[in-house]
Amino acid sequence: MNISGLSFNALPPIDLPFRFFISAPVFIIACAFLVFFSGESLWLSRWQPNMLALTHGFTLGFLTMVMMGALLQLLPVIGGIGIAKPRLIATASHTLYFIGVAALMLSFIVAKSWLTITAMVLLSFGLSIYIGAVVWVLIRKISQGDSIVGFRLAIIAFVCLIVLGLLLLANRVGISLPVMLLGKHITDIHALMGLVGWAGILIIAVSFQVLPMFHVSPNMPKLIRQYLAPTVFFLTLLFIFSGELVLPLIFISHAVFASILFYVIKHRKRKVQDNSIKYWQLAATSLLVLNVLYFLPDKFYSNTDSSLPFLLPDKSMLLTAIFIYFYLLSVIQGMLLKILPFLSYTHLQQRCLVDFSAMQFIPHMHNFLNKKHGLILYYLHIVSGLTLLAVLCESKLYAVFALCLLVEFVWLLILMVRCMRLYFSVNVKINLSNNN
Amino acid sequence: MELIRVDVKQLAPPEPMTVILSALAQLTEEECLLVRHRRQPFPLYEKLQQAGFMYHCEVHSDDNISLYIYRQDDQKLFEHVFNNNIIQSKARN
Repeated sequence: MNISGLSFNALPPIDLPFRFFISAPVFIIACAFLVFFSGESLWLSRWQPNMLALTHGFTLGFLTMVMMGALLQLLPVIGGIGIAKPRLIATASHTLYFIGVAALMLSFIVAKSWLTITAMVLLSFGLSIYIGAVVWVLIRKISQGDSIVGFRLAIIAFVCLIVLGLLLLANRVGISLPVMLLGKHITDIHALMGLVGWAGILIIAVSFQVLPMFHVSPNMPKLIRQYLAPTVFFLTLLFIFSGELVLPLIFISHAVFASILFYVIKHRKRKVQDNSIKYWQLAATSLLVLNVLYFLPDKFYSNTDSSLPFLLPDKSMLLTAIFIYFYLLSVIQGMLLKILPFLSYTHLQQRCLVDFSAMQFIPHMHNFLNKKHGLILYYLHIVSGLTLLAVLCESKLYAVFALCLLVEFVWLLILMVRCMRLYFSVNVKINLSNNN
Repeated sequence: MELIRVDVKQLAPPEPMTVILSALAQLTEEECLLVRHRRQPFPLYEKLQQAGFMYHCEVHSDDNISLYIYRQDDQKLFEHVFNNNIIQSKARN
């Protein structure tokens, strides 16, 4: 019998994840200006310095920023234990990380060694603090094993990608290490660890919990919950030794995940119109499209000696763009639409345990983030994604993509600010009511 | 001790919490709330203690738990009736 004892499972104060969330669109807005002012040359290759700034703005500035904030809340909800000293850890890591990513993007654009070193120092400290706190939780024996195993693997991949990233930055400032002899393969491992190992596995692990929880869907099959994340992680490690053989398996494992997503979504009990579900469906469709594109013969791509009348853009650029924009970004935006109003509501709701009459001050959950406004974001996301594909085919369209990107993420920022303002105004009302 | 039952298994957040809070607002002395849920509401636990409640959770499977919530003053009574399986059931809507 487990009569309640001491617990460390309270949600961290809401302003902590909020500051990660609200910082994220700022980086993509910066990316929109970067795309606009870089012109056509940005799209020549993935090795363009400004392209490196752009990809890190998306992956570190937006995706990782949101995932770091979300993990702060997910650990106590899913595992039952949150990080220790959340205010100190979140404030220090967020501040260092925010400035570190900005310095990193600038260091790619203006190529100054002092900026690169600044970015290395800030990111090292910021991420060490954050990862240390998360590992402190994850090494404990906590509930909901399948997701937690996924979190652990994602964090290991995160550490690997950071170490490789720091080695690559060290190389830029003239500190050459023997491992750099592997050349571009190191960059490929770094990218795969980030996109598939860190972001991909974390999304897989989170999906095991959030789909049944928010959408009352059936649990994912036990085999998938137990083996999918470890399989993807193992394949990511194998990529270090044999890239060509492993990549097809990574794509296939994601096609399996996409199929399971469709199955679970189809069999959910609450079949109400929901923007997050639309995002999950878009993400799953993108994974299947990625498989088709990956297994398409090379003669369909422009970087080969093909004589076909219409050719697809550079294969690695196209696949990476779809994976980041239509898969990772879609899931993250869909999650934001779900957790921003939920967290706001649930934090206020928990205050009513002592005084139930305070419930009268809490508006309906949809007032925190209007469904129609969420749907507008979804359509903006599709439009800007399509303009990204267009700019890969015809780089002259870069200004259109920049504009779409700007509109989409300014809109997301507005939705976030409105949600947070409503939360804080209701919180003040409850405080006043308690004081009277 | 009387048992008040609520089943929130088919509800999506934040409805389970709304149902639990409403039931707790009406919970009188010598009553115990039994919540049937798909998952443990971990963040609620610490708040329950701060608000003067105790809880006991039984995990039946991956998506099936029973959570008993009662007032701290009733702890001995709860342990007595729970261990001797003499809780009376009462439905409340």
